[in-house]
Amino acid sequence: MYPLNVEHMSKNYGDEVAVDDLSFTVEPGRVTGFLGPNGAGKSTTMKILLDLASADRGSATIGGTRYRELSDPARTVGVILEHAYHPARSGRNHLRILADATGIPQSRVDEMLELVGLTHASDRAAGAYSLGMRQRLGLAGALLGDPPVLVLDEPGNGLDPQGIRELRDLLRSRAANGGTVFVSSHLLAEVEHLADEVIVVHRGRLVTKGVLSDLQQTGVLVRTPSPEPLRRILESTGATVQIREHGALLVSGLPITDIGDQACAAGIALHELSPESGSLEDLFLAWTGNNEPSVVPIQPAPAEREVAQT
Amino acid sequence: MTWLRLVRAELRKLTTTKIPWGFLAVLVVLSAVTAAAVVWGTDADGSKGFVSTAEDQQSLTAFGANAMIIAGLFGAIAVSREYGHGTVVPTFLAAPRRHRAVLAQYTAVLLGGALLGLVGAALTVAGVAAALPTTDYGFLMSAGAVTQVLAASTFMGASGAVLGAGIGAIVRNMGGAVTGAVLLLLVIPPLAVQLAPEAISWVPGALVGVLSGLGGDVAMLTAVLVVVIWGAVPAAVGLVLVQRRDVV
Repeated sequence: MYPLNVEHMSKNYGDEVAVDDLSFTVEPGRVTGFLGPNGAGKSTTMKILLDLASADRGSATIGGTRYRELSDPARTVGVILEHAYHPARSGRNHLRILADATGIPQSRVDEMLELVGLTHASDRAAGAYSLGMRQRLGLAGALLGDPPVLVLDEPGNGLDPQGIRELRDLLRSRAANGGTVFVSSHLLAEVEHLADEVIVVHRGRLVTKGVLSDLQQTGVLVRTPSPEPLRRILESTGATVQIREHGALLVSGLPITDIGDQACAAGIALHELSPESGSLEDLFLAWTGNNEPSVVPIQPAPAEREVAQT
Repeated sequence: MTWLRLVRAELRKLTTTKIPWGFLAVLVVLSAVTAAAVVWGTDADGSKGFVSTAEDQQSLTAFGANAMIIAGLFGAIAVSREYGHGTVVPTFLAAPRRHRAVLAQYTAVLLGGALLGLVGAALTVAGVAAALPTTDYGFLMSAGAVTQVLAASTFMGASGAVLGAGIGAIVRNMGGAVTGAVLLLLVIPPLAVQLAPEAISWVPGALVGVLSGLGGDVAMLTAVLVVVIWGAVPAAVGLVLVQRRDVV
């Protein structure tokens, strides 16, 4: 088992802060999404984790060991960081070079080309590949050593819906088999389907982390014919209660079971008691401080405009 | 052996793009130009005196200086393009102790440069030999002289390639690396000789003369050592920098 552990990591490029005292753990057996706006420090964090860049402070380890200290890094960690291929070199030769460098049998090259659906284009120059095909080539390279850890930067970019589904199935199955899967992505809808946990960074700092379904839960929706008495009871226990339309209550700060128990003890009937989830996109925008609604100002109708001009 | 695997990967990198064919084409053109000079060229007095003796022919076929420049460009391009295309990233992921990867890269480029030097000299000797029947002179070089010309060119090619690879590792940009190699091999030596005439014994052009058996101011062993230093210094600087810098 190889948890990824980042502890108090900081990195500056000149005066620019790339990563600022970042700490988190990526556990094996699940898919962890790494989210943040452009320039949030995701790629820098991954590069430090992989010993491609050095941290100014703090540390990053894979299974308790620095990447450079791993006995067989290529068979331990599969990586997609950026498009790293020579445009004139064929996909097959690209993988053969990786196999040469890592001592992986050449037979794995054809297996991986088959797995990612690139066999038909394997002898074509990688520069002629579409973005999706290049992503598949990158994935083939990452899986070449059948590693228990995957560190993937934007692996879904450019993939068609079928490719995204295949990627999702593949990553979930590797996590289900005990692998550590750490995926950065801008595709929030994809992360919503893929990730068990998320780590969100903004301007190099950790914004939030946790189980995605927990983070998405904004509260518990309660419908009752007696909203006002129940509101008073729940607020007296420290919960925050918002009144929604038709007398529904949105309760946060109290487990759903406790809400039910409190209502039962007070003899208040409940018509609905359900967790309320927010969309990852809304949460992401809130976490990263970009939650202002992107509303286009409504143009006044011609008649109104005339009135306004007078 | 991890390092040998890395060398194999680097050799495959060099042989799976068109770059060797481009340089081979340059060698063919240069040997054709030399052969054409034998066929149509003359001395100032209209004679073919420049191919009239074994020493003249040895001087004409001494390809070492060209080998060093061509292999220098080859090394600079081969290494700097790794950074340009990002293919250095999987290399450093496979060998996170980067000195192994860089030394493997230098080794592969050294072998490539040596081959370019050998082929360049062989084509030149063959071109001159093929062109000589158009003159009044035969091929006068001894087997030993031919061997020495080939060996000198091979050695200069190897050193030039390592020099270029070092510059590529330092600069990491193809245009900059090529410019750096041209400056170091073509611009700085004559400039240095202008400023300090005693430097003439230590520039590649003079050292090639010693290695090719054409004579010079320094002993053979000294010439070998200085040619090694020409390649090793930029390579060592590149090696140190690659280990210290982030891969961006």
